[in-house]
Amino acid sequence: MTKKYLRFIGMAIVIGISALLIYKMLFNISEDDLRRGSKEKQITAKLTTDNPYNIEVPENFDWQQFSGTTLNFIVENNINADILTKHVGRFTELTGININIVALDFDSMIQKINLDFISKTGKFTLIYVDPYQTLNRFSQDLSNLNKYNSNAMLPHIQGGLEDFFEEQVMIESYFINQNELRSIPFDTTTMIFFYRKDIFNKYREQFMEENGFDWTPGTPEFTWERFIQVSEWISNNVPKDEVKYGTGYMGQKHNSLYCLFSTILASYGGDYFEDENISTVGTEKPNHIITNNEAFIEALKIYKKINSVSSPESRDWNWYDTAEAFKNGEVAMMLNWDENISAIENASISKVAGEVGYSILPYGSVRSANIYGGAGIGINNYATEMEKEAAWLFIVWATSPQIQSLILEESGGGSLPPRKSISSEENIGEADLKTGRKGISQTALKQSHVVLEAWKKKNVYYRPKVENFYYIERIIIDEVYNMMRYDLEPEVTAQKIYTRINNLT
Amino acid sequence: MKDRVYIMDKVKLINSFRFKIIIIILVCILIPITFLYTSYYYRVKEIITKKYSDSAVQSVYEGAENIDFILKDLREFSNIVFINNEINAALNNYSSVSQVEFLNIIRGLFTSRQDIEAISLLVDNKLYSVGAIKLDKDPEVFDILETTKGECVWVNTSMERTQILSSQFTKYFFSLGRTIVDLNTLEVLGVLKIDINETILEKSYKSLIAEEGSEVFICTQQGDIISHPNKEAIGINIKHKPYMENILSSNEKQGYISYQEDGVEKVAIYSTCDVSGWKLVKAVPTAYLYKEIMQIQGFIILLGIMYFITTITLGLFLAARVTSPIERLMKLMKKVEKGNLDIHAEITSKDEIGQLSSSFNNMIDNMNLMINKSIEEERQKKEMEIEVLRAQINPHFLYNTLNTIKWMAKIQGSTNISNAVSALIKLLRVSISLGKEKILLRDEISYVQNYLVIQRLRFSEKFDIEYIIDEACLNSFVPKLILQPIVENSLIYSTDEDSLETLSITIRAYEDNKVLHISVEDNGPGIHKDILDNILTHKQGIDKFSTVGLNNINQRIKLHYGDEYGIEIKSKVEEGTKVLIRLPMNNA
Repeated sequence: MTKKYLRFIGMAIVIGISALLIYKMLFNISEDDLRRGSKEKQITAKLTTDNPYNIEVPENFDWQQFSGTTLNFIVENNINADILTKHVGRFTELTGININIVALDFDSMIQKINLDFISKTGKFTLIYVDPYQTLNRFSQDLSNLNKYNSNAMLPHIQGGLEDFFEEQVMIESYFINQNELRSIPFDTTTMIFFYRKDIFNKYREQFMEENGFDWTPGTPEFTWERFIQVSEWISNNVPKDEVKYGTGYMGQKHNSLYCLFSTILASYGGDYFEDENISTVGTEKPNHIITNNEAFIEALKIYKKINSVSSPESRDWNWYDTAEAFKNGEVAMMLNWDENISAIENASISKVAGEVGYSILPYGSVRSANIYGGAGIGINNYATEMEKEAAWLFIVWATSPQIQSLILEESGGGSLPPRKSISSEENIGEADLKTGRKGISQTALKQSHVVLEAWKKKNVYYRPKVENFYYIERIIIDEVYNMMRYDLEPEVTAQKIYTRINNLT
Repeated sequence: MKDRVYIMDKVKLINSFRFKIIIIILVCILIPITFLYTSYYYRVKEIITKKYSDSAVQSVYEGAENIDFILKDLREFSNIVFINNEINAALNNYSSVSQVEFLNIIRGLFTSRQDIEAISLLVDNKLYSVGAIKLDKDPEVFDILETTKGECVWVNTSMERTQILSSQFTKYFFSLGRTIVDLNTLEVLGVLKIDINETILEKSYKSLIAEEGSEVFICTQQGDIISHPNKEAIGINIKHKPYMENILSSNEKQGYISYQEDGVEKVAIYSTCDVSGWKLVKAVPTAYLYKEIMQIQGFIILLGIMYFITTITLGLFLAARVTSPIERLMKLMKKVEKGNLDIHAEITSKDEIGQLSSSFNNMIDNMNLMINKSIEEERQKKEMEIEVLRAQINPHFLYNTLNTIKWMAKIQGSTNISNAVSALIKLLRVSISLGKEKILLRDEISYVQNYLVIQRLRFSEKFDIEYIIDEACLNSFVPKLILQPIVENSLIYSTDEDSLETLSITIRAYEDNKVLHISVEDNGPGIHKDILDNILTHKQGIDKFSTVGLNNINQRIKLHYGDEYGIEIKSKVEEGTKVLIRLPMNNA
C-alpha cells in the first residue's frame, strides 16, 4: 500500500515538474532573462577590433546600445569640422547615434558654449574645448573623461593618450593639474608664415640686389626686422596689379591681435608670466608678471613697425580678414593659422592657390615663436549619463587614428592631427608603394613639414593658460591697440599692461 | 494442507477504486491545472497591472513633458534676454541708462509673450518691473538669485497680491530667475526674474485628473507643492508623506509607488521634469486605477471556482461511472462466491468493464457447464463401478469355487478343463482387483491371453493371435480391461462356428513420441460404414457388436487422459477391422 502511495507522490512530482516546464514555456521565463541581467557583467576586459574602423572595443561590445540618441556637437567651423561632418554618417551607421554638428565661427561658438555652461542646460553634449577660452573657465562644467576611458565596458582612447603630443595633451586635456581629463585632443592649429611664392621668386634677384640678402622666409636670417623690410619693399616696388601690400597685420581689438603680438613677444624671449606650468596645464591665477621687461618692450616696438608697413586697412583686420585679403591677392605675406591652407589652396575661392609658400614665422632676437592653438573634444557635465556615454563613443571614434588620418587624406585637408602616430615626419610624405605609406593630400604636403618644424620645442610658443585670462587678454589687446591707435610709446604701454594685470591678479 | 478460503469483504473507502480515481484526478489534473491556472492568473494580472501602470506612468510622463516644454520655452526666452545686446549694453552701462529706458527695453521683451505675467530686472539694487503690479515685494528671492552664476533657477509658486486699477487680486506665480552674466567676461550684470501664472502648469496636467479620488500636483525636489488644483495646497511641504519620501529619493525619472492612506490602497505615479527637477505626481486609489483589472480578476476567480467545481463534479461523476459497473460486478461475484451461479451481469457498455462483465458471464456459463459435466461424469463413473461390482458378484466365492473345480479337473485328468478354469481364475483375479484403476500393459496382455485360453475352448483353433509388443511398452500403465473387450468383439463378430476360415488377430503396441499406440487388428468380415459411424456413440450394442464395451473404453481413456486420447476404429467390409488405442506413455 505504501508503495502505491509513493508511486502517486512520484507521479505528482513528475506532473508538477512538467507543469513547471509548461509554465516556463508559456511565460518564457527562460534562462535568457536571467542571463540578460548578468550580460553586462560578462563583458570582460578582452578586446576586439571587429568593426569597420578597427577601433578596439571590449569583446561583445554593443555598438548600438545608444541607438536613437541625438547629440549636439558644437565645434569651430574649420577643416576638421568639415571632414567630420562629411564622415559622421558612418558613425551614425555604426552606432545609431545621431550627431548634430553645429559648426560656428570661433566667437559665436565660444559665446554659445558659455551660455550653455552658464545656463547648465546641457544643450550641447559634445563641446569643442578651446584650452584658452573654455577649458580655463569651465573645466568644472566638463565631464572627467577618465571615468569613461577607464570603464571596462566602454572603448578606450585608441592608442592611449601616449599617442598624442605630450604638450598638446597638457594644454588641451588638463587644467591646473592632471587629475581630471577634461577633453581629448581633436585638432591642432599653428600660426605659420604664408607668402606669395610667385612674387618672391619673381623679384628675388631684384630684392637681393637692392637689399643685399636673400628674402627666403623660414631661415634664422629672416627676422622680424627683415620681414618689415620685405613688406615695405613689396608695397613700394611690386606693381599693385600683382599685389597691393607687402603684408597686413591683425589690428582689430580681437584675439588675433593678442596672438600675433604674442608670437613676436616670444621670438624676442619675452612672455607675460613666468609661473610654473602656466603654458601647459595652466594656473588659476598667475603671480609672476613680466610684461615690463626689455623683451616685451622690444616686441611692442616691432609690432608698431609692422603696423607701419602693413596694409592700412589691416588696422581693423582679425585673422579672418587677413586670410581673406591674402586669398584675394591683396597682401604678399601674412601670419595666420595653418588651417587656412585649405581655403588658400582652393582655387575656386582663392586667387593665389598654388602660388603660396609656407614657412615658420620670422625670427626675433632669440628664436622663431610659432603660437600653437589646438583644441579638444569634451563632454558637457550637464548632459544625462546615457548621453555622456554615447558622447564618449563619438570622442573615441572622432579622435581615433583611423578618423584623424582622414584629415590629412582629404584633398582640402591640411592641419596636422594631434597624434604622433599620424603626424610624424615619416608619415606625412607622399604615397609610397614601396613602403606601403598611404601618403597625405597634396595640400597637406605643402605645410605639414612646416608645422612639424613649428612644433619643435625651440620654435613653438604656448600661451599662458589662466582661468581669468579673458581679462588679461582684454588688457593686452586694449593697450596694444591703444598704442597703435594713439601712437603711444612701447615703454608706456608695457607699463600700463603690467600695472593693469598686476591690479587684476 | 488446508486450503485458505478468501471471502470478499466490503472495501474500505481509502482502498476503493473510486477513491483512487478521485486522487488521480486531483493529482494528475486538478493540481497541475490549478497550479498553471493560478500562475497564469497572477502572471496575467501582473502583466495587465504593469500595462495599466505603464499607461498611467506614460500619461504622467506626457504631463511632465508638457511642463518641460513650457519650462524649456521659458528658459529659451530667458536666454534671449540673457544674450540681448540691448539689455547687455544697458546693464554694462547702467549708470547712464534711465529707469524709463530700462523699462522700455524690458517691456519690449514682455510684450512678445502672452504667458508671462511679469518681468523684473534688478540692477545695482534697483528693481525694474513690467507686467503685473505686485503689491508684495520679494527681495529675498533676489538675494538668493544674486548668489547664482547665470543658471536658471526655478522659484517656487507663491501667492501674491496684484493690483489691477484700484482692485486687488490674489494670484499664484512661479518664477524663473537667473543672473545675467556677460558672456565674455562672465561678470554678473544684473538679476532677471520672470513670473508666470501657476495655472499654466495646472493646464498641462489637468487632463490627468479623471478618476474619482485622484490628486495631481507638482512638487519640488524638496517636497514643496508648487502647483495644485486646490490652491490652498500650494506651498505645503509633503515630503513627510511615505510615498513622497520614496518618490523624492528615487533615482528613476518616472515610476509608481503603492501605498496605503487612511485605509485606502493608492498608487502614486510620478514623472520628473528634466528642466527643473520638479515631480509631477498623480495619486489615485488603486480601485480606480485598476478598475478593469479588478473586474477581470473577479471574472478569472469566478471562472476558476467554476472550473474547480466542474472538475470535481466531473471527477466524481467519472469515478462513479467507472466504478459502478465494477461494484455491481463485485456484488455479483460475492453472490457467486456464495454459490449462486444462476446470475448474469448486465452488459451496459463496450469498454473494458463491458468486456469484463461479458467474461464474467462466460465464466459463470462455463462453470455451470463444467459442473454439469462433472456431475454427469460422476454419474457415469458410478454406473460403471456399479456395473463392475455387478460383474464381480461375490467374486471370492466364484474364485474359490473355480479353484476347487480346477483341482478336481486336474485330479480327474481333464487337462483342458483344468487349464480353462485356471485361465478363468486369472481373469477373475484381474477383474476383482477393483482398487486398481490402471494396470501394466503386460498384465493387460496377460488378461487377454487368459481370456483367449477360454475362448479357444469355444472356438477350438479357429483363430490365431499374434502379439507384436515393444518391450518398453509392457511397463506402461494403461486403464485396465481395455484390450479384452476389443479382442472379444473381434472374436464374436468375426468368428462363425460354421466358417472354415481361421481368424487372425494381431495386437501391436509401440511408443511414438511419448504416446502409446496399441492396435487390435483382425481379418474378419469388417464393419459396415453406417455401424462404424455410430459405434462409439451408441450406448446399446449393434448387431453382435458390443458397442458398450468400446464406448466404455473410449470414455474411460478420455476421462483419465483427456480428449486427445481414446479409440479409433478403422474397418473395411470383407477385409477386417483395426481398433487403434492412443494412450500416454506412463511407465511404472
